[in-house]
Amino acid sequence: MLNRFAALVACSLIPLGTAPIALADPPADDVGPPPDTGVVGSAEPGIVTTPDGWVLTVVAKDETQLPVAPLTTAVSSREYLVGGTFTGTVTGSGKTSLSGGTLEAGYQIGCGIELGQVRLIGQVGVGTSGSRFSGGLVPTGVTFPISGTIEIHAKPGTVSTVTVDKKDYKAAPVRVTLKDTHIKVDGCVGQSFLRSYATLTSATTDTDDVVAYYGVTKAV
Amino acid sequence: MFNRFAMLASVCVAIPLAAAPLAQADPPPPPDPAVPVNATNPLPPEGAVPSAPPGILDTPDGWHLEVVGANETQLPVAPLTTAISSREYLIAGTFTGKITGGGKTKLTGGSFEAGEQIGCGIISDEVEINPGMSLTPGIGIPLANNDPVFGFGVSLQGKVYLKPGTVTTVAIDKKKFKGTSTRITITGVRIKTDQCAGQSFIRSYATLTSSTDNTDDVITYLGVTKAV
Repeated sequence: MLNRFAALVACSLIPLGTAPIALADPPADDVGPPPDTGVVGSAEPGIVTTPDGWVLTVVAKDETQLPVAPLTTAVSSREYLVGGTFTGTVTGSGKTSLSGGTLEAGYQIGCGIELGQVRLIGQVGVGTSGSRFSGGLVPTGVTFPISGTIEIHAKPGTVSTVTVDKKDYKAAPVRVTLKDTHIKVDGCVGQSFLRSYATLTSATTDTDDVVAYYGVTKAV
Repeated sequence: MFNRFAMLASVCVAIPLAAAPLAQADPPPPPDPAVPVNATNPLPPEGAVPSAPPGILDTPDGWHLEVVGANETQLPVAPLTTAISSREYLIAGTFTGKITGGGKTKLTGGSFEAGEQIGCGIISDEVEINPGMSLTPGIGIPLANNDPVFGFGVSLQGKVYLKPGTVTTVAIDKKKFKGTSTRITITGVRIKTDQCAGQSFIRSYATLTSSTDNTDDVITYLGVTKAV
């Protein structure tokens, strides 16, 4: 019986014993969790079969979206360091002859509430009140009104599209790789959202076929 | 002894196997074979919209121009903002332009543009939120036999600025062609409009421009309007 227990203990020790192998050797002084690399997953590729038989695919991989400190101290400014590889391929055997096309890659930033201005308005004054004698010529009191107003001018959120690159290609596959591109949005209070996109346009002499890929939305 | 080893081995192998399925999420169910995926328009079929009658123009010099929309999809999807005034649509469609007939002039190709028009009933512009505060100290005259007075007030003002609606035209693609037929297919492109407080409307359009050396003939197809 004791042996069986020993076996069970051995079993539970095996995962514990193997786990450290998967980890990198910890440095001598523990510096905490590794820095955020901003790696994000990619969405399903955009695939379409054109009426003349070509199969267009636009796919993204190795996407990163890392929030970094903006160049202002305003909490309403956001900045991201983005990267990714966007690839467009044309396969199959269509009836038409291809003449290249374009691959456009970029980012869309959505903002819940946009802040236009904040106005600080102050007002001071002197006033008199009442009258005791003829015609109100002699006041019975003097007041010193002070008032302050804060005007917050907000707008409903908008989505802005930032095209980072538009590549004219002659023959697929076409690829656009971005690394350490800074994407910024200003004046955003509330949540902000970031999403990559890539649009493949495959052309023949007389036709264009457009298929788009949209990445996974990251909320910050 | 051998038995014990066998047991240890089998138990040790079984434990990870038993534990593994818990860690994985349920695999997505296979697509329903009853709903075939349309290869030329793989968007969800519930967003499909009918197409309007084709745009037809018989030119003075004898050519017959035709613009046709087909396989159209306008699917409302969640926008990229949390604002309820933002709208987003997933768009697909096949737009074809054809030039037929026997005209007196020599055709030199032309251009073909396809896109979407989004209309909005009421534009929601700025919103103001204005909190205020006031203090009013005072003295009585004459100072003798009069207590100083003191007043205090707070206020909150709200302003909503609305503007009459507008129509936004978004050209998705513009194609220069050389022959007598041209086509643009659009799949899975997202079209958005922001700051729309009322109802929003969307319709597709395609404009065919047929050129000769000295003339241009322009005909536009407008899709069926979808209200969201």
